[in-house]
Amino acid sequence: MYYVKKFIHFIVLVWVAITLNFLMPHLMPGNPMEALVAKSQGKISPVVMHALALQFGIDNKPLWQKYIDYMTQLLHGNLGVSITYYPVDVKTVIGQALPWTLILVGVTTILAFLIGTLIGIVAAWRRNKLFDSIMGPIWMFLGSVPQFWLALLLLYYFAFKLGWFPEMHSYNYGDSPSWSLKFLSDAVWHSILPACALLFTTIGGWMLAMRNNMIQIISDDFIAYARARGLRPWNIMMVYAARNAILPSVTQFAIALGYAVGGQILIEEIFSYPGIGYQLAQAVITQDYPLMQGIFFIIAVVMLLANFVVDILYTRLDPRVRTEGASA
Amino acid sequence: MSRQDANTMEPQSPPDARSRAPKPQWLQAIRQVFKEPKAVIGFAILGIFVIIAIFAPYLARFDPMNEGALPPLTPPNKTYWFGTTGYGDDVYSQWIYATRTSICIGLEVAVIATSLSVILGVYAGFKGGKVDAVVNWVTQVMLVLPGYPLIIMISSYIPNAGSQAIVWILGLTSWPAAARMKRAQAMTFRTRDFILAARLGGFSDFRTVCTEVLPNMVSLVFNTFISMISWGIFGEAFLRFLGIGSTRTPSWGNMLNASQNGNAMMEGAWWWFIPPGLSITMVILALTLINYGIDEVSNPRLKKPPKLSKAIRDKLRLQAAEEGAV
Repeated sequence: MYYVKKFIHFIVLVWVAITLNFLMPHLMPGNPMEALVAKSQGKISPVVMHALALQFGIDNKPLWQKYIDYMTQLLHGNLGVSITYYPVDVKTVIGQALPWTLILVGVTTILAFLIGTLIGIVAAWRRNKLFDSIMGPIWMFLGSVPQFWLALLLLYYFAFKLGWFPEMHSYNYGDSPSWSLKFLSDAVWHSILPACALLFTTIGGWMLAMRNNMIQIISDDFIAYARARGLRPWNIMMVYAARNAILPSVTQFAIALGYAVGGQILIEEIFSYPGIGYQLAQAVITQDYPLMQGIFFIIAVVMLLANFVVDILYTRLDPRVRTEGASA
Repeated sequence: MSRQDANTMEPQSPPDARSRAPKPQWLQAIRQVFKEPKAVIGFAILGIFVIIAIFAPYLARFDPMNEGALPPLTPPNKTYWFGTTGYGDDVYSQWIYATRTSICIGLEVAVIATSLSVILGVYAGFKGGKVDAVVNWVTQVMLVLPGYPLIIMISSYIPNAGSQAIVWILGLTSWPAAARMKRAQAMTFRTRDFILAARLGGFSDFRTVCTEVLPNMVSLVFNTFISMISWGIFGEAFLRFLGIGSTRTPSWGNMLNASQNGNAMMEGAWWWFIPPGLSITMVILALTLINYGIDEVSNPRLKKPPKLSKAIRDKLRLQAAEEGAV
């Protein structure tokens, strides 16, 4: 019953996201779509214009009619045609961008979670000792650095100044993506700077969350009991304390993985890394509304899905939630 | 410094606790916060930026936007302390005015978001029932919608979004997490005795919330306010950097955007993009430090472990002071 309720909630949320996505351009003063069409008259072929007109309902149909049209299109899996990449449709653009984002942001999210959590465990265990008092300020400072500014600094120093790393893109121009060793190493090489910018700024959050959870758990009686039993400290730290403290972090992690699909808008933009975030930034800059709507749709659905999975996961990991019926 | 304060303060107060005039609790809390070194450093850094923001016209040396009157891309020197931009503006003067804009935007966003989170979170949590159900549902929906893409979408639909538009977009989208936290806390008050007393005393809901519930949530509200300032400053920079609603008004985000568009990187003009970015970092760091300081005072779970020994130490010190006085 609980799962059914959660699933219905999920479906409703997806519906809300889709409706918002549809309504936003229509609610804005002076429909931006119309402005776009007026601006690009002559620049875009009549065929695209017609497609756009259909997709955004730039005709005098009533709003509800447009809404139904929009929903039908979506149900058929049709996200429309990108203006920038015409005649490529939005689905293809997203499909090409998604793997890059998933690899870059996905891998760094996992790494940041692992490293940050581990540092958090040790820092809490050795609270107010040397390790804790060094790690705390360092990661707090790095956590305050705006991610995109750190990316700019890294790019400036290591790519432009020293020339150690490539300045942009995810692989050498001219190469075509393949599974060859050369291409893969090249891709890894290109991703190091953006990955560093992401890692440095996100590890701190995981560390702090884990540290705070750990501190609360460590003060519990069962830890004192474990100590009194003379168990090895390492054993108490990892098996007794960390295992109990990690639950909130795990759920956060699952949500973060969902976020990863949305990419890192500014970082990808700065490094011209052809992922979802880069495409979204480009769509904003070039006012490619169909692409924007399509990307927002995908991100919203995946993130809602992640939240849904987390809710389910939480009840499996912590049965107390299920009986209380609380959702978070 | 703080230890000295403690030493000089304590002998003045009469040793008998009963005869001591009860200090207002919030005053004590503020004193406690200022004993926390993290918070002190945070307030100091923030203070510098606020002073710069207030006295911007007196500190600036050039017109921040004089459109190419100065030699472009001059490295920092005696005339142009932070160098000049690729468009021939003085980076220092721009940075001074940008500080004013960005701090103001941060504060405005914080006011909007904090008020919304208090009104929706506290009232709904306290009230319960249908109001709560509706508000909570909206909060949940807002919470799970993807934040960055959402604000980008909204702001890119608004033609020539100015500072005010950005303030409202950031303010109206950032309250849910804070509202949920406040709701959770407000709910715990519902059944407390002092709330019951207020109700029996015939207080309206509004009055109960204002006089009984809110004073007990000051630290949480203040926490929200502080984090929302950082979010406002960062969010503005984020949107501006993407080129959304860029104007010639100097702000940290606009400076970064201009440096990116002006190829500061290829020209090696590090002095162009370091000051705004570093300022954002410092302000956010200061606000984070303040929040930690408050947390450590208000959250008993994060209190330092040697609680007992410190209490004993204080007592001993007090006794020693008494003996010295006698």
